[in-house]
Amino acid sequence: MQTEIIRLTDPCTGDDCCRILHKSGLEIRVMEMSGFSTAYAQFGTKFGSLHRRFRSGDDGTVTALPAGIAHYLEHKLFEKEDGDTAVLFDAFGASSNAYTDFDRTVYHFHTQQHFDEALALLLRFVQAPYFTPETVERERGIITQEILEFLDDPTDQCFHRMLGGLYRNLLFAPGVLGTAESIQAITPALLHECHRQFYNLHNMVLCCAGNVNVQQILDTADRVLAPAPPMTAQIIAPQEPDAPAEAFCTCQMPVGKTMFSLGIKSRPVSGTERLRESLLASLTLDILIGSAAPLYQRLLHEGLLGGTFDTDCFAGDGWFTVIAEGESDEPQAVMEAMFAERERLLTEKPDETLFAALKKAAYGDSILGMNHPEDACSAMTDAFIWECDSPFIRTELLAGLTVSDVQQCLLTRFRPENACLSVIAPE
Amino acid sequence: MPEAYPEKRIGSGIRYTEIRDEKFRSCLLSVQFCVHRDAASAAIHALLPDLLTASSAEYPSVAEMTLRLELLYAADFLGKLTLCGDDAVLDFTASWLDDRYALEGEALTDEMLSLVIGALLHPNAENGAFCDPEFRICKQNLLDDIDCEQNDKRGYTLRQAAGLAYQGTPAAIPPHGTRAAAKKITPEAAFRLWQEILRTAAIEIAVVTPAPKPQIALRFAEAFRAVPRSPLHFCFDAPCIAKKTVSVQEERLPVGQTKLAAVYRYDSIPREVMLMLCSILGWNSDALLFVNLREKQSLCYYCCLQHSRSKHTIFIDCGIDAADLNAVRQEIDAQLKAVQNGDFTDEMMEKSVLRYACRAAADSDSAYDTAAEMLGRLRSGDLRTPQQMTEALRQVTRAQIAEAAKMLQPDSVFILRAEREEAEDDAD
Repeated sequence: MQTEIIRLTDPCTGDDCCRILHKSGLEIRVMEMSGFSTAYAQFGTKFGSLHRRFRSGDDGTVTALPAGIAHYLEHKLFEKEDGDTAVLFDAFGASSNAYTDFDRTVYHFHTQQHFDEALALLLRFVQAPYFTPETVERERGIITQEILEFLDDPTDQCFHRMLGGLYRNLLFAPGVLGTAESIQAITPALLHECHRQFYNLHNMVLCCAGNVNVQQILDTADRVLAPAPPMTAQIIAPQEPDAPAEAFCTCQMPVGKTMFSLGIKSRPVSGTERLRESLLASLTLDILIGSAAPLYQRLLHEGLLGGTFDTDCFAGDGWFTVIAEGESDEPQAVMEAMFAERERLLTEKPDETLFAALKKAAYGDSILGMNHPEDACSAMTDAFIWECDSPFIRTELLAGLTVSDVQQCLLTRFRPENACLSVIAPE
Repeated sequence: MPEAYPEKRIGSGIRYTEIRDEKFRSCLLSVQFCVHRDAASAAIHALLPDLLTASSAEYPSVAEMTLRLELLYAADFLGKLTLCGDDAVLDFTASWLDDRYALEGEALTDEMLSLVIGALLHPNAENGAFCDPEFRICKQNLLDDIDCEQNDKRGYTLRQAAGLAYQGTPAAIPPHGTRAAAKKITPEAAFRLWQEILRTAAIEIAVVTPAPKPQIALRFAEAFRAVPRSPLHFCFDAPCIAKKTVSVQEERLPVGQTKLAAVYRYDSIPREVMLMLCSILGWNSDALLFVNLREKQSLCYYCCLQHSRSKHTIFIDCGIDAADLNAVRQEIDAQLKAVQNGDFTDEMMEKSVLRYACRAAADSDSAYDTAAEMLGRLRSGDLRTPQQMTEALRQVTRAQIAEAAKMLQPDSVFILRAEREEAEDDAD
């Protein structure tokens, strides 16, 4: 296989992105950003906390994984025989870290100098696992403390309980970290197996942005990366019904005011369609209950909503959810008002002035979204995980959205029967 | 590369600084009002940033203000309160797309200047009082924020530790003020205090822009000409007062993880020495606290260190098992002792310098951080650029760091003890 380079240009800003299909099997995306002094790099794999069952390409065996293993693997990859890899990044003046999400694990660094050396280190350390029973055991105490912190966080709990209520089979619960019990089952052998199956270069992406140079990155990749064998492991994704597992869930925690997270699930989509639908759903949320919307103004005046309120569209491989969350003494009333407003907007048309203003705002966000190396790097990683070839299609997709699309979105993606309301009440 | 133009006075006690950097596609404007705090005013200070950015005379509701900002291509206008020593800073930051990106040729900078100056000098008020319902809503939000202070257990622990360490001084007043004081705020009192702030606060204005924007200084100068200014003096340094014994306070909460925050104070340590000490003790990847408490002993997931330059304190905090409390406190002491003994490597010192340089470079790639860095320099009076500070860090010796560590005096400890964890231990 030969390395192939595809150049993409943003028609609005003139930004260039190089999409490189490297001969090793790795996809590399690069944005050279003139004037910036820092270089960012993210090396990610499509292996996250939701990936809990897979069929091995070697012999077809199906393996079930304990909750939290992707995150555990992320922690342990930094540790090598001679110590913590983060310390080696420090020596280059680079700041490194990693995160695990539902659908990915990403290792990253940024630096002002020694970019080549730091990039080579990133590529090498992520590909070279070193696990011993002692080091794996030692991590259990650290991650248990991280889990305890997560369990004490009411915002996280409210959100995750909502996802658990919405999705019957997709394993959002117990969260990315797993539980103190589930991580007991994690062994060096299991970590090695996950690494072998999912840290295959064909399943990964390297994104670099800022003060970087395409040739410099290619040279490092050529030097460090060996061709990977074909990716044969298959994630077994559970089938998810349309209806939520439960419409309401509640618990008590030491909070000052009742918190809620309302999620509404709908048909998942992939690739460019997912990006378009996410943009449309975010716009629709703003028209329905964003801070410029009449409903938000009314709920604010009636004291049903306070300063802590937000909306989001949360979508991935196999899920699509619109979310409204915040604090309210009457979350049920907020939900009912939202669905009543949906009915109104389906009958009467959404306000054209508000729609035009929100489209302008989304355009502004798109222009600014690539004006920082870290944001550009993350946008390229997102595009890869979402199977979009270009990170520059937002403005084009936005331009095509109409008020009728908003009504269609309200109809299909805001169905009351597909909602789950999660509430955390004060103890 | 950013190019800073010398700051200038555009009014009595009003300093204006412009930084130009072509790489940015947006403009950022930060207007900061430095004010003295006391028990009565603290809650109003906490209310004003939200109140003044929620609406104005021209855009008299949250919906109208938001719609205007959306029409300006998702421009931002946000207010926040930060504490600085014994004083507070009311910070109003606006950012907007540079004019060249406007699809319909709108003069975005002029429009945003009108919006910001309007909100600050012509707020949503009538007859000497802020108008309802916006006032009532913002006041309720403030009361909710106070009621929800315990939601974030780590933040709560740090705030309680600060209250303990700074007892008897304005810095001990909670950031949102007390509930009783917040409850008493009237639209008239809030408006009166805002008018007083306009007259007496030290005002810093910083702009980060890809192209010259002379109209910003001109319009602020013009707007403040109508305000009878008599600015008060503000002091960046307000050191934590030494105590005879270490204050220890504990609170129980039905949570799973115990949190600990330990405060240390010092009299006088040069900034560059303090930066090196903090890096070696708590900020680097191989910082002594991280390596020993987390990596070697698995006592915690995080063990963080924060430095308050104006209060001359450091805060060390972590989330732990209650059963490990003594072990954790001993280990923190042991690592501090190690620094006092000079028990750290040359490599750790070199990495501290590199870490600072990397962070300074990253700051220069963000308009917000560029403005914050410049304003921090001006407020503290330490005008050294990040490059000059990097050079100063290189000159710091091991002996200076060890000596500085010996000057750190244990001051206060706050423990948020997990009741749920204890109950489970008892059941076992």
